[in-house]
Amino acid sequence: MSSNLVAIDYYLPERVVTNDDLVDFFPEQSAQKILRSSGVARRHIAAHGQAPSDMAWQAASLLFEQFSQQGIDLAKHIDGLLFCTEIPDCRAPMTAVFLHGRLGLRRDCLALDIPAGCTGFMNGLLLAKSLAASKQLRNILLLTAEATSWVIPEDDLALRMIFSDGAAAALVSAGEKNGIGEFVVGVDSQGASSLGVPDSGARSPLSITCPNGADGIGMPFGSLQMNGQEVLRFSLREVPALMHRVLEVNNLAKQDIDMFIFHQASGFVLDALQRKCDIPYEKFYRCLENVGNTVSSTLPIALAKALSDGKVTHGSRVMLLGFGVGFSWSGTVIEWRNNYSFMQ
Amino acid sequence: MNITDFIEKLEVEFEEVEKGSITPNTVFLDMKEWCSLYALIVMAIVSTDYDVDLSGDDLVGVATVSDLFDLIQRRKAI
Repeated sequence: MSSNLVAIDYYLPERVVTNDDLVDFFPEQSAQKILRSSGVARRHIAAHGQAPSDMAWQAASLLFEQFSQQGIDLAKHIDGLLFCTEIPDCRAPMTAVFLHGRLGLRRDCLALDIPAGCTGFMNGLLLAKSLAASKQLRNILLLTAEATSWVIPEDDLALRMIFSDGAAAALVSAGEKNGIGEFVVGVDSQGASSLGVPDSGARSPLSITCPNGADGIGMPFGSLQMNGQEVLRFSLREVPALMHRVLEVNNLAKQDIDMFIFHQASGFVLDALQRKCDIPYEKFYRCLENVGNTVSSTLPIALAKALSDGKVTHGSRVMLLGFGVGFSWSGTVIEWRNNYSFMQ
Repeated sequence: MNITDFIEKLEVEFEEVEKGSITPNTVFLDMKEWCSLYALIVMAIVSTDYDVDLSGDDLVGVATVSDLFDLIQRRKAI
């Protein structure tokens, strides 16, 4: 049995923060310089109290709507729910359990959280593919959602200008044709201190010495820490090697790929990777400027936008590469077809 | 690989810096435009164009453009 990525959709919160809005808070900066530094012009920010699970529910509802327009109640066919987030509703039970209930999925269904940050969608896709291909499950709903704005201090421009909130939903189904290729994965724990939310778990509990701006009120979900130089070094070291390895294990040459979609980390990282990987401009998809870095959702959002832009069409071969917190990385090649269907 | 090409690459990427103003003796920290973004730009150029991985400590250890170019050449020779 093989597996396919059948459908995809996404949700972005209504509230938008522009570079002019950031300049109001950081008057020594200019909107132009922020755009040049980050590659982002607009980022979406979750409403007060709008948890990642709420955004994931919105994205899933939009995906279900695609099927209900064809008279199909997709919820009845889902037997696996994977939810990628780093801000769960609570420690237990898993947030996927709550989403399972809110989405009205059937009882004989796997529900699992995957807190894997920027590599989350790819790790989820690998799990979904494996579960479908092994005939354990038939139709897996893969959800990603982050409210990174909740873990960014308001006086940290370097983080605020890059990150954005959002969610995505994808359907992976078992099928006769194989639309999801071989994966290459990796992890380097040396990068753990360069990108993450320390002081937020059992080893180092959430600290009240984590002030958010001048008012000194602690951040209830921790504070994101990023060493930009180390993240850049990691990206330029591992991602080109990942690209070549993914081509190799899938027996493909670079020219066989119709569109390269990399994790939309920042404009600076994407520019450097495009140059180092020597990918033509027209084959290197970017949607960072008006979306921002939505962490685990950048890849599914970019794929959905590439489909709506017509940059990815029926038969396109697309390389998807995720990389980030850990450090971790994961990549594959998918073949997009408009006529893949879910498993009845 | 020569230092003139290296300086040209820096001047293309350092958008705010006047063209022709960078010499081998230019001290990075003395450039009025120098900022954390410029450090990232240098690391990206050295990685993408010379395939040399520079750390933040490497950058702290060099003063001039010429010092940096020498470091790249030494790393390439290893």
